[in-house]
Amino acid sequence: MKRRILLAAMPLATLGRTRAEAQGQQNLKAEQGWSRPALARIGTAVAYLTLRNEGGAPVRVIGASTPAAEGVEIHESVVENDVARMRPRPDGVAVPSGGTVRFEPGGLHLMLMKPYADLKAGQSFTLTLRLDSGEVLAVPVTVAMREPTAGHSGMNH
Amino acid sequence: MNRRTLLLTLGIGCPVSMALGWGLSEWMLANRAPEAPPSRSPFGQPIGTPFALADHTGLRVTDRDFAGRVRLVFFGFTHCPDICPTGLGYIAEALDSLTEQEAAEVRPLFISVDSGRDTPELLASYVTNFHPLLIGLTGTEEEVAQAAKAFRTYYAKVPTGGDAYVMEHSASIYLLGPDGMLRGFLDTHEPPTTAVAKIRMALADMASGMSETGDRPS
Repeated sequence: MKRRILLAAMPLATLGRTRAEAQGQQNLKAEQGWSRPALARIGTAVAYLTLRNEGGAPVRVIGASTPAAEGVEIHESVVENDVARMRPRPDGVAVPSGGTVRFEPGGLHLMLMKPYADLKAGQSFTLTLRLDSGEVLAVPVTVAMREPTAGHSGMNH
Repeated sequence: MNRRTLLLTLGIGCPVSMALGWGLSEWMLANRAPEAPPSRSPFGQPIGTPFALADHTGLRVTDRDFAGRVRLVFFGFTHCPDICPTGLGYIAEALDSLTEQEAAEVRPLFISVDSGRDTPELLASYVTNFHPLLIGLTGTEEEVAQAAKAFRTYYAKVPTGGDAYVMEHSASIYLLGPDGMLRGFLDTHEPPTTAVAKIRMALADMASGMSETGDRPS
């Protein structure tokens, strides 16, 4: 029901989009965007980040894009009976109001399809998340061999 | 039966029946020992033999080339964006925490289950990205199947549309002692210091002379 109202309100919402975008970015915080070194010829890379929803309503990330690769898909690694499988998450990932969702090794991750160039440690690129509200959220991603420690993301604040 | 008789019966009966029981079980164990079925637990059993593959420099190798060393064995494929880099990154971190001498006694093996795409040359650029000591292994479909069988591990090709496919595979990182026995597994959910401790325990066996050719206390 709520979704229907939201859908109905969408044409109106686009009018006030700049404001909505600003608000969305205030509500959904992305931190600790990082990626691993990868080879363009292999054709896959990964990005991880932490999402925190400080708003009063759930936010769903429905997709992403980056100038660093042809495409980005939301995937989840699942280990069942010791077998590692990868599950696409075509509906995206919802971040509940006040909640945190981590994209992290061995779990939710953003898979970069066909990176245009090798990703080397120390480089960075921008990942743009698409939200179900129509808003977008740009996240800086740093290429690193290892997950940056929590203290490191202080730069974003 | 009065209290005295009871105590007497128990006092004599218990030791006697215990002795009889012990003797009987010793006799039974001695008798069935030759045809005792092997333990179902994979631990303390030789694993990962035989296999013949190509390493990432193109050299032909077999499991015997790594005998006498502590081995870390991880199955995966280069097109895997999450689980494999996570496992290899974890192994690399553990290797970095060992002394140079210790690391020199460890053979970290990444066995590709994607013989269709993972050539030695591609593996070379992939594994060296993680750690200079990592050894990438690949082979024909049959050779890879044999290696997986030797480690009793599972993998399968999963089409994802068009020509695209991913491999599903075991997420285990095997830890083999210098004697080729399965010591356990490294778990990427544990802090790397735990992996280092496990590797050091296996290395300690090596220092005490335990190897495939050496004497192994039973």
